[in-house]
Amino acid sequence: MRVTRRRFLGLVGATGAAGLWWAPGCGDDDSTTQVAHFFTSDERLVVEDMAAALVPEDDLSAGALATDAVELIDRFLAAFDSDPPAIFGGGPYSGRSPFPDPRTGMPTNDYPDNDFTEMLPLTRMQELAFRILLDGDAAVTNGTINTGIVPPNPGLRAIYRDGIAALEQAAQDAGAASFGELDAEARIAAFATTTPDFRGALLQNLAEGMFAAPEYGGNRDRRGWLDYDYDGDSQPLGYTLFDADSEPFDRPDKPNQTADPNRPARPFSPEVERFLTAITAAQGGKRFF
Amino acid sequence: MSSSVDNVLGNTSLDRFDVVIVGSGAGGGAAARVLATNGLKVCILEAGNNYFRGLDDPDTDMPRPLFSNDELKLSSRGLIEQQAIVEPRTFRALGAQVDRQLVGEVNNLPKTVGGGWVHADMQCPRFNDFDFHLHSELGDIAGASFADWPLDYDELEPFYAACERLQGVQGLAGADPFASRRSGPYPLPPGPPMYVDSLLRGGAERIGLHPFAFPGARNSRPYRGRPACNDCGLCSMYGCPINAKGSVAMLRDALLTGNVQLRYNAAATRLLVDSSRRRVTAVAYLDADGNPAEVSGDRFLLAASAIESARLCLLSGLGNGGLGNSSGLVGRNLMFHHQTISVGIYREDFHGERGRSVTGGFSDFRGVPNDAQRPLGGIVEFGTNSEKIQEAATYMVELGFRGAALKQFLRDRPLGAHLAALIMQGEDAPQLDNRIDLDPAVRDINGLPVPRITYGTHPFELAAREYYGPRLIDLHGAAGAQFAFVAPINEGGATPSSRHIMGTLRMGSDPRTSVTDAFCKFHDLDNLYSADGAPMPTSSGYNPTLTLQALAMRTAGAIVDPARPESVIEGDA
Ligand SMILES: Cc1cc2nc3c(=O)[nH]c(=O)nc-3n(C[C@H](O)[C@H](O)[C@H](O)COP(=O)(O)OP(=O)(O)OC[C@H]3O[C@@H](n4cnc5c(N)ncnc54)[C@H](O)[C@@H]3O)c2cc1C
Repeated sequence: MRVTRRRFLGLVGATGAAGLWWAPGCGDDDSTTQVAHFFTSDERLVVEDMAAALVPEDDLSAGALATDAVELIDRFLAAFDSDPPAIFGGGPYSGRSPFPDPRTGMPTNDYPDNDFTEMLPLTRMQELAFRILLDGDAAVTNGTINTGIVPPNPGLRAIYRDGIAALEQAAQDAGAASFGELDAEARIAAFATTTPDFRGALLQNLAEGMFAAPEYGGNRDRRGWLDYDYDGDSQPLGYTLFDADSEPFDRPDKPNQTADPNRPARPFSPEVERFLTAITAAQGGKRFF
Repeated sequence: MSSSVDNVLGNTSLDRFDVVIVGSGAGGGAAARVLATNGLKVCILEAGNNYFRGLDDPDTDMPRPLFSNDELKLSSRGLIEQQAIVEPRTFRALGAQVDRQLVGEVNNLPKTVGGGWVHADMQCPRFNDFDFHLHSELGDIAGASFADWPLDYDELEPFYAACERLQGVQGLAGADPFASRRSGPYPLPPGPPMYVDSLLRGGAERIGLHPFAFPGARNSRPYRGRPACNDCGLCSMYGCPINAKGSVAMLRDALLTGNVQLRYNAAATRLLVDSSRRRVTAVAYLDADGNPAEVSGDRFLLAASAIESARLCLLSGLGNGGLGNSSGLVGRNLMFHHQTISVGIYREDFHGERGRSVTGGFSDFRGVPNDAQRPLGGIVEFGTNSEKIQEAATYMVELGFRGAALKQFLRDRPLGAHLAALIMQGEDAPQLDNRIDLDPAVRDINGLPVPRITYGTHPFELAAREYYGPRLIDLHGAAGAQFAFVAPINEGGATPSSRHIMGTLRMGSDPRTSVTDAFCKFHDLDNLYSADGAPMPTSSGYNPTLTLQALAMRTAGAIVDPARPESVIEGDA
């Protein structure tokens, strides 16, 4: 039995003490600031079609599309079109979690502002690093200082452009009018023909797009956290509350020290269990039951 | 007092310095506090940026960190990390007949005000009595260069106690039956144990071990102007959003004296010496815009972490048979901890995003020297996984799952919420040829040669791994795991994955066999000292930072009062 988003909200609502303080909408990012994007609309479609095959939707949980994971990638690749560059969100709080009451330790209705949307300025060294990462080693002075020892770095933007072109080419070779016409299996076969750099980048960035803080553009409505049993950010409340004498106690809705009744022990699915059996054997470990 | 000058914290009007410290991390901050509270004027150069707003502002609301529970920012994109793309290191295996086998990240520590102590999870055990004379205990071991320390546990004890007091270490005196004597209790009681800790503690007790609440420098109650830790879970790899960690507690004390000027985004590139070649006169550095600058002073402390401090010596012509290196040992005896990590997979959901990374452990496997039955291992930490992006990337990038199979892993979370880790911080035997030198060709973006790490594992570490690995697996079994195994030695096949970095400027009383003396002053120079993990002759089997801080305080204390360094610890703050 898995806690899907709807079930999760139901359970939180049911624990009296929790009240509404974890309800959706509290502190959600409602900023309307202009954000920069990198992909053309055609490119974006290809990436989304690829992402949908890699991490599909199903009845139980959102995939790459419903979490809007590609939006995070699109923004990251255009990071330098904003000032400060859209790379490191601010801190310390997102506004999703309230301040505790200093006397009782219990959550208040006082939510901090969302600092995550205030991007931090980069240092000289950070700027150089992310320029190379995104635009390639030729984009900055001294970027190619180790050429001949390390392979040239074309930068993520070029890696994405080339990877997308390769996916479209693979679709054409398969006789399809567009990449989106391929079924999931054929899209994954096309993915396998792209470069390791593209594959590695897209997979890593999709993981980020599904599970990073929503302020970066992905993890829409926190589906990446809610559908996959993850609390996300919790400051300034945290999980240990303090009474008037500063004695610590657990939050009633999300215990730290004990098992969480909303996240009970459960057997692994047969597929996962087979995998665990195999790596345990390969590493010379033990299966206990 | 609070500075309004860009890239400077503290007293901006100071322009003459008794001491210049390179690095504002764990060691540098500890040394700065002792010096500044005793009235010495200190300049700290820090290569990284500052994310503690108001660190030098006496207001009790301060500092207000810019850290957050944001995995993308701190962990994936590395806000405070050394970015290998512009500052790579290189690696080659000991014995490999090539210039290098890897260019990229090799055991990096953060570059930021506060150093590696900012994103550490602040485990603070002390070393053991016998760690200070291991060579005497073990005798000569082929291929290893064990040495006694030129001081003993009792000499360091007052500094340990001060470090614990000033940073707010939580713990329970007497709970670890193998710990050496203490002059007093911990300043703070242990905070709540995480769920994973309770389960593993039960397993450990069932197989006859002695688990305890792991000592750590995070407030368990409000303490010294900082709030109590509320167990937000994103602790290791994260700066603390509410400043409950003691990461910069001593650095802040130092800044508030008015005797310190901290220049950040200022990367030291070279030590300059006078014609006697026995005195350092200034440090050359690159400022925030990359322009060359210099700062002079009477004394100089290297606290850039063991690898970077040794690199700075080599960049300055110290070493390679040159200045400051009559022993030929600069950069040698580099040590990490050899972590033996046993992974257990449980049906229980550990919700690792609640808690403070590690709250329990045991030190039974540290052993005792020369027990023919049991090798010397290290303290063991109880951990779990708290990072979601990293967990997903493991299934997607490393294990290559796609489609429906991937979804099953993402939902079942076998390597996330259901993973418990037992991490043994095994002693790394020192070896002369495990070392850092300057890579002959690879440069950082500023054009400077990067550190090259040459490293090989010694049978000493492997013996402990072989012996204790199966016992860690059994502990998982006793705690209720369904599966358990020992993870392969090295991530990426290079050095041990541990970020505990020691050696490179070994201390000792004999200038022929050590670089620095009993107070971490260079034998060959009159005014250069080491104040990070570099002087440690051996690595022990305990997290090293509290010990390197205690050493740095003692070094600073000896600068203030050579006869009685322990009498000046508190200074005037
Ligand atoms: C994720 C993680 C968790 C950890 N957890 C623990 C733990 O629980 N317990 C423990 O004991 N240890 C832990 N460690 C290790 C701990 O961080 C280090 O032992 C400690 O920070 C080392 O102190 P240091 O003073 O030698 O160096 P650092 O704290 O790294 O400080 C060195 C400083 O020097 C600066 N610097 C470097 N080069 C230059 C230059 N050329 N010019 C100017 N400044 C320079 C750096 O930017 C840095 O700020 C952890 C490390 C990591 C990565």
